[in-house]
Amino acid sequence: MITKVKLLNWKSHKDTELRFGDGTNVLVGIMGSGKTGVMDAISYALFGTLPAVRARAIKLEDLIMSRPKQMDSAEVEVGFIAPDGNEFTVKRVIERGVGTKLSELRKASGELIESPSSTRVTEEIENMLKMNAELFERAVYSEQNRLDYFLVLARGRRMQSIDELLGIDKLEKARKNMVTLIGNIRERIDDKMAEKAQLEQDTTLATLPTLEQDMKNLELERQGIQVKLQQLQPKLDEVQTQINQMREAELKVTQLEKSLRELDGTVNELKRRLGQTREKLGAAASVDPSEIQRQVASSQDEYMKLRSSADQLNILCTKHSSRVGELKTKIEMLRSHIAEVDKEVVRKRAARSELEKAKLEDVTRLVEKLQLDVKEICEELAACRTRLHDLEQSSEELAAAGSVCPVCESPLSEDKKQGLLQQRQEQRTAFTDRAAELEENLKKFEAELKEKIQIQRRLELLAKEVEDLPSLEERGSQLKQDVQAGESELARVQAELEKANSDFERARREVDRTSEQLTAARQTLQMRLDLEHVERELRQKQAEGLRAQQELLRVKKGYDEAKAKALASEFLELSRRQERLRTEFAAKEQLMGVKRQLVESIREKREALARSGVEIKYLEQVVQSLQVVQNAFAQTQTTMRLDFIEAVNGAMNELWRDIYPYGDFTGIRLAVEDDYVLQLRNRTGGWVVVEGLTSGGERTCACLTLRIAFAIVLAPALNWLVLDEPTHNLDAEGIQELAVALRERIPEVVKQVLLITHEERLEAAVSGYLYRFTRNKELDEPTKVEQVTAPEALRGKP
Amino acid sequence: LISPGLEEKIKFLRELRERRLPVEDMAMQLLEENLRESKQAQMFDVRMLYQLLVEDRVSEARDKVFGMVNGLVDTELKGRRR
Repeated sequence: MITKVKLLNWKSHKDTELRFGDGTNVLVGIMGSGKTGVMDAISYALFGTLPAVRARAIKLEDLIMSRPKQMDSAEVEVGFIAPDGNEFTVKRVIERGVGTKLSELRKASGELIESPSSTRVTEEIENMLKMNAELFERAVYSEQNRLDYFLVLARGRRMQSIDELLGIDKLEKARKNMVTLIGNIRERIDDKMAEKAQLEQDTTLATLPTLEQDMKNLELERQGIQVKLQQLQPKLDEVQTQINQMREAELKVTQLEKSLRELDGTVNELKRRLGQTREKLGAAASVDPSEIQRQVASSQDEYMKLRSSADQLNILCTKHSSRVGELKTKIEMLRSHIAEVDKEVVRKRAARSELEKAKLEDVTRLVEKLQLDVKEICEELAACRTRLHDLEQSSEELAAAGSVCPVCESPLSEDKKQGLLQQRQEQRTAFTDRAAELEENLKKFEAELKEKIQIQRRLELLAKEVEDLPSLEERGSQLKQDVQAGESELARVQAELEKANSDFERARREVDRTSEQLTAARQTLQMRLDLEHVERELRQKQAEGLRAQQELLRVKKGYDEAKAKALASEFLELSRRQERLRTEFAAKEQLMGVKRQLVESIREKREALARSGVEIKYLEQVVQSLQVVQNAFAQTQTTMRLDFIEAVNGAMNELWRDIYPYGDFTGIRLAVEDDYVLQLRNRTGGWVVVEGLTSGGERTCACLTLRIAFAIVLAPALNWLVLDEPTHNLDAEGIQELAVALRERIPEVVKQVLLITHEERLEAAVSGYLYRFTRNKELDEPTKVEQVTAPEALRGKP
Repeated sequence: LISPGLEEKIKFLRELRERRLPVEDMAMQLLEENLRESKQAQMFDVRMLYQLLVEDRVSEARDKVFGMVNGLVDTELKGRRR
């Protein structure tokens, strides 16, 4: 029994808490007011899912309140009393993006039983209620408008629907698949029988004993050959060993003879070389090499001394040659310098001659006189020009003056004035003439002065030029003396150079001679040493030849050519015999292999034949057994149906009197005709079909009885029922009848009914709690729940 | 109309229901009761076979049956060879 439901952010419920009691509890409200949400919450709390989620019509997250404001999580808490009488509370939380985040099951005392696994909480509740979500959906929860679901189904579909309700449709499915399975096995039997028939016609199967005897005979023959081969092998090995020994001796003889030939050749060559060397050495061949060594050392000392002397002379030659070069260069330079000095002396002497002719002192005096003359003329010319200016000014003043003299301020008459003016004019003419004459003279003197100054300057330069003429002449003389000294030294050094060259040439020839002597001595020494070496080698090779000769004689004693040929012949004969035996052995083995394969093939066929027989036998047994199981499926299906009908009819007859207390219909049953038919028994004892023949109220009572009977039969321990909008297709009388039945009679057989309806007239059905649900859908408001009545309030009412 | 044997089975089923078993368990127990007297059916694990057939796994069921038959054939042929 459900005792309470608490919802937070669940669909349209912001925060709703409902209590439920025994009897019929009614939730009434308009469509969309949140009534069905309560039933969904009960299903989710108990089983972790609900029909719409199982059908994948919605997701769990869709159950979280989304309007007017989207919430992140929703919480459901349901209290219930289990069939064993204990009370529990189950709580589950859904979080957006996560799904079920928390599940917990507690006793009413608060003791935790299971958490947080949603699956384990569900399993725990399923064990308590002996029911799972599927059965809850089938037996307890009558979905909206589906109270008369059974009657609405077309005839012919009801048995299938009841089978689905009972879950025995699976037996039918298993039975059909069993037919397919048996068919598969029969196909296998047919295949095996065909295979068996084919094998039975195979005539080779009978040849097996003969083949097995052949195999034994062949094996004996093979073993005989193997023994012969084993006996032959030691003989072959022995002859082979002897042949090998002979071959080794033969090889040794060949090698020794070859060595001897080579040694003879070497000895002859060495003797030839000895003869040649002795011939080249002549008398020196008998001289001791140490003596020749001493001669070489002496020649080398002499050569080194001469070489050193020649090197020193060469250095002296180089030194003198270098000095000659230096002196020649110096003399050449001095001569060049003398030519330059001589040229300068000639030029300066010409200047001195010119200077002596012009006499610089005379020119200097003339220049000084001309300078004085020019000065005097300039002074007189200046005085003359001053006097002229004064006269002009005086004439102008006088001409402008009145009767008073502008100089002496004495009375001045016109005549006097004219006289004075005339006098002044004459004076001006005289001075002007004189000034012109002076200017002419000045030009003449100035030209002459300029010319004389130029001559004076040139003469001064010449005088300066000839100043160093004596020292230059002295320098030329000195240079000529230096040339003479250089030429004298050059002659001396050239003489020394010639002598040194001559000495060096002599020394060089001496060195060449000594060098040739040294080389010859060295060659003699080398040949003498080679002679000794060749003599040693010759003695050694002669000794080797002797040893080889002795070894050859020794080996030849152990080698018998005739015996070797006999051994080779014997070995050939034995090898041929062995080859023949091997070929024979291989042929036997090959034949045995062929026969063995044949035997194995026949054995496999005989095995397959035997196996086919046994397999067919067992497959036939299996088919029979599966047919038994198949029949058992059908039998179980039938039994279950009959049992269900018997149980439902039993339950309905128990319920009918309570749900329908009138005398016109005294019984109810689910009859089996071509399909299930719901019937009512009338006063005469006849049975009438409910659909179409009875009133709405009678029909509702019959459907309700059937629904409760289903619940009792399918979930006998639960004792509660959910009816969602059961008034579908009911007229006013039917609704009234249903209300009376739910209020007064159903609680007698079902401890708790949760009734969801929009039909206000069904408020009369309440015997437990009555809740009225309202909601302003235009404003997306949450559900508001008003508790109208409680069982305590109803107890006093009739 | 109902045979005595069937009546017995219904009685058995009724007892099972009183033990509050789920419908499918009841069906399976009844099936096993139906097959109890059949020695032939005892060669199979009926629950397993039923489960495979209900889930449309016919080829798997067929392989299991052939495997079982092969085992029986091997045992018998081995016995004969001995």
